[in-house]
Amino acid sequence: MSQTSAPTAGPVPGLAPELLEQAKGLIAVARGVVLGAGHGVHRSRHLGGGAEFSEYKAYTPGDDLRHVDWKVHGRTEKYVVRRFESDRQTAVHLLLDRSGSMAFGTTGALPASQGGVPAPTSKWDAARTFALALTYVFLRQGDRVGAILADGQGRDLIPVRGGQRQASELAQRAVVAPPAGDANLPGVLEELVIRGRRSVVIVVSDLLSEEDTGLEALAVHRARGREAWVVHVVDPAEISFPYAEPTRFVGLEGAGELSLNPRELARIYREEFAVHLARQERACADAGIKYLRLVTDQPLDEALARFVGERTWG
Amino acid sequence: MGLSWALPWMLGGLALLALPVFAHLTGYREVRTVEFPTLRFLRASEFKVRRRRRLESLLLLLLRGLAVAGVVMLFARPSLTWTATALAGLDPTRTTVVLIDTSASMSASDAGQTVFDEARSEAASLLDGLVDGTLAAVITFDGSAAVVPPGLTAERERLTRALDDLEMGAGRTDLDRALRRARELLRDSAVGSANVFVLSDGTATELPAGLADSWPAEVTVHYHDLLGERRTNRFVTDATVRGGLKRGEGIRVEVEARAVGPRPTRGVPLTLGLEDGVEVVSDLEFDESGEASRSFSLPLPPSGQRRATLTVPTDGVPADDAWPLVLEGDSDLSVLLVSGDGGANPRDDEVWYLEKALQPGPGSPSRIRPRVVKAEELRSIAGGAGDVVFLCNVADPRPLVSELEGFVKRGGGLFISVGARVDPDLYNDALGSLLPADFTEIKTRGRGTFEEAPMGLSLPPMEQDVFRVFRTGGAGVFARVGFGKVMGTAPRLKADSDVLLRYTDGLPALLDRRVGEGRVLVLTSSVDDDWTDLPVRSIFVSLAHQIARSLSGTLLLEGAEGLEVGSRVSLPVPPDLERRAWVTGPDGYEHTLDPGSADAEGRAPFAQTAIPGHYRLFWEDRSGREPDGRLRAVFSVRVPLDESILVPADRDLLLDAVPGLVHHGGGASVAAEEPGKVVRTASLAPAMLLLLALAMLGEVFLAGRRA
Repeated sequence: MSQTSAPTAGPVPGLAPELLEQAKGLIAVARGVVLGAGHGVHRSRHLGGGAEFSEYKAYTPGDDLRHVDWKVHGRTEKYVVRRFESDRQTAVHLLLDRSGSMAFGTTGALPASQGGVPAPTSKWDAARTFALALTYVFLRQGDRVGAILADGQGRDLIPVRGGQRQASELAQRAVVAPPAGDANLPGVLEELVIRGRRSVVIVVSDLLSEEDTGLEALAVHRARGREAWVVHVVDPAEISFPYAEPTRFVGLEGAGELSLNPRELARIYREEFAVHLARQERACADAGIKYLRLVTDQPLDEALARFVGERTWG
Repeated sequence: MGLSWALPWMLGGLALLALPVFAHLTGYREVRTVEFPTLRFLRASEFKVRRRRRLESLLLLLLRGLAVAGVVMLFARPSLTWTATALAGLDPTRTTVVLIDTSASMSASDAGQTVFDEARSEAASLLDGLVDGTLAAVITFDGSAAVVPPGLTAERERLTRALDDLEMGAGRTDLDRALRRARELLRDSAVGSANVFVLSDGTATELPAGLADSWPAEVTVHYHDLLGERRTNRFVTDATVRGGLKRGEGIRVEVEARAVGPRPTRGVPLTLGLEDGVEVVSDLEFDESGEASRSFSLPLPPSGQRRATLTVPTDGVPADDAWPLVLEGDSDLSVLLVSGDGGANPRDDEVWYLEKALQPGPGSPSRIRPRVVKAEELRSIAGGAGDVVFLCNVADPRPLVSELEGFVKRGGGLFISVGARVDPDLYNDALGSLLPADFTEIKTRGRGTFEEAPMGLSLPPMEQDVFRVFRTGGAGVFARVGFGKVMGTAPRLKADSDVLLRYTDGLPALLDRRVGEGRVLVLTSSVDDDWTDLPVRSIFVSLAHQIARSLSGTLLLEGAEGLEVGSRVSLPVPPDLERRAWVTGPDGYEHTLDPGSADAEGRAPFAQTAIPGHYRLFWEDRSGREPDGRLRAVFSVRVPLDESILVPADRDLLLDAVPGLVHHGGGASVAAEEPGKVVRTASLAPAMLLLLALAMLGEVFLAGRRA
């Protein structure tokens, strides 16, 4: 396991068998998410990549009809697809918030989605699954993907590379440590070195840091011409606050504890949190950052489809 | 005033107050722990509700404490005890009889509360002051005295409730009757020792008399004059209606009034209101003796009777502010005089005296209009009979018989006088259906002339309508009237017949018979001076008028004016039991008269005169043409004058009349009198229950908010 404050690379050596199984399970789920997203994911292929002709290949279902060479078809009555080779592939930087608040989850008991994707057990579970599914999507279209998993202990860096091994590595890194501490997303984003303009920065977080959620640092990347995304992970209990009996609430990021009667302040809390959500979304819009709210009781494949659709049709 | 507890040891339960305090301090326990990511939003929300929650928590603690304390104190049965003043003389353990004056003078008021209200309130205080098990009774009295149900009882709550239902009357104050009733009640209940409280305004029309020797020694009378020095009143003392202002075309109402006490006595408006809404106002100016007079001049009222009311402004005794009276106006009366003996000149005519008696001539106030016809010229009375027909010495009435019968049966009046021309047999044959008795023969007394006739008239029965006018004079003249000849009648009277007047020798002089709706009067002598000197006697004019009015049913109800509340009046009612008769009182209530109770003269007693005002007598026609009845007479009833004058009963006389009587009130010495003391206790359980219910309601409300 590699979990250091310094950037590291490569598969996790000596991963315990049970964690390895978890990683495999995570990969399977993420693939299920991709499959569940269906048609939209396939249509996204090659978009955003380079456009220099490389070769012909026989048409197979799923290929973009826009790339069918109709002149060849006119001469040979065969369907061939022109393939392009990017002169510069897109570099996708995934920043996963593994802070303590991401451990919160109330949706584990929900039924699986129609595509068979099980409901996430926590916000972190949803975040890593969604990130892994994104990795698959980007890798399939030939992009390079890197990731940083940030928590109170530091950062776990997966350098930007192409190839399916990136997904396996991300899956393994995502299961080695539970969410804990404060992720310090602003610091991570400020230190993120990105070469070239064809880059995508995707922050997957619950944006609950009290001091700085990192949106300002992300806005800097956006200002430099990079595509910036925020996937805002929210548990439905954070919105509806479904508690009634007197309860002692313990903060997940060392914010102390609070004993209260939820019935007395449920209405006010809901109003406060709704304002928070709206404020985050508006801040993203103001900075040109694309915003996707991922409520964990909603199917992840639908969220992925929305993400891909948003990137494709803007 | 003090708080006491029936079970004070139960107050130890107040230690349970620690329960809500304990619950308040420890009761807010979390049922579970939840790790939550958005604690800062919870903190912000909690900050907003913290202040309100603290207030609600404290209030909840207070309410719960109150609820616990309320329950504990409820079990301890708290009560409030204090000492109140009551009327002097109260002995909480002695049988008590309270006599409450309900006479008209008890309506005297000061600052909006009548003396009657004060008496009722003091009576309630007296009853409240008695210890449990003490017998008590309430008697109300004015002109009469009545024991208030349930009589002498230890159930004071029933008596107190009965006090609320008492109503004030308008009659006089018969203290004698009230004390006698109290004595009877105690005697019947075998109670030897008792307190009798008289709660009155001090005015007594009838003082106790004859009680000094028979009053029980162990029964103490406490006489409380609740009105004291507040004796202020203005009232009418008399009203006289006089006619003949100017050629008989107007009437004058002369009013006497009196003022008692320091109220304004100048420019006091006096209003004469008539039943048709007309009001005449004149100011009363009371002299130093408190007396005033004023007169109203009015046009002659239309025929019959008119209700009128004299009113002074509301003052000390509201009950006597209105003085009801009846303006009597003769109705126009049309009389047909059938003369059977015309004579050579008018003076010799059979009906000359009668005509002049009924209508002396222009300028006379008489509203009787006689029309004279000679019998031999008369073939029919149809359309000309008027209200009454006088058949005077008509030789042959046969041509008129059938018309006369119909006339009488329909309600007309027929007067028959005889003379030399009357053949008894012919009359018996022709007018047998109308005559009260058959004629026999003409009887001569002395030389047959009135100058030397030894026979006069017996004393007339004054209760009869025809003769009631002679109560005030003239009755003695009847004996001096001379009769030389009279018509004898059969001793057996016919149906519905009666002898109203006899000669001094016992022969019938005036006979009466009711036929159908009408009436027949027969004078067994002449109405001229052939047989009798009656026409030249002073009583003749009045007698002629009374006969005409009586036969026409328009005779005024003599003696009805000036009745006092509680008086008994005799009302003329039809003798026929099939017809309904009733009196409508001032309050609109109909008192049915039982015609069966009428005396021989057809007059029924009526005593339901408890309310001052106008009373109207009705009865139905036999014909059924007026099913709602026709107004027959009006009479008025007023408050007794003694109740208005407010003269307090003489204290010395009271002390002499009732042995051991203690007179409280009405003087400075009495003001310094030590009042009675009453220890009163009120249970606080209802208040505690209310407090408990409110506390629990508040607790439920607040707990609901918190939940």
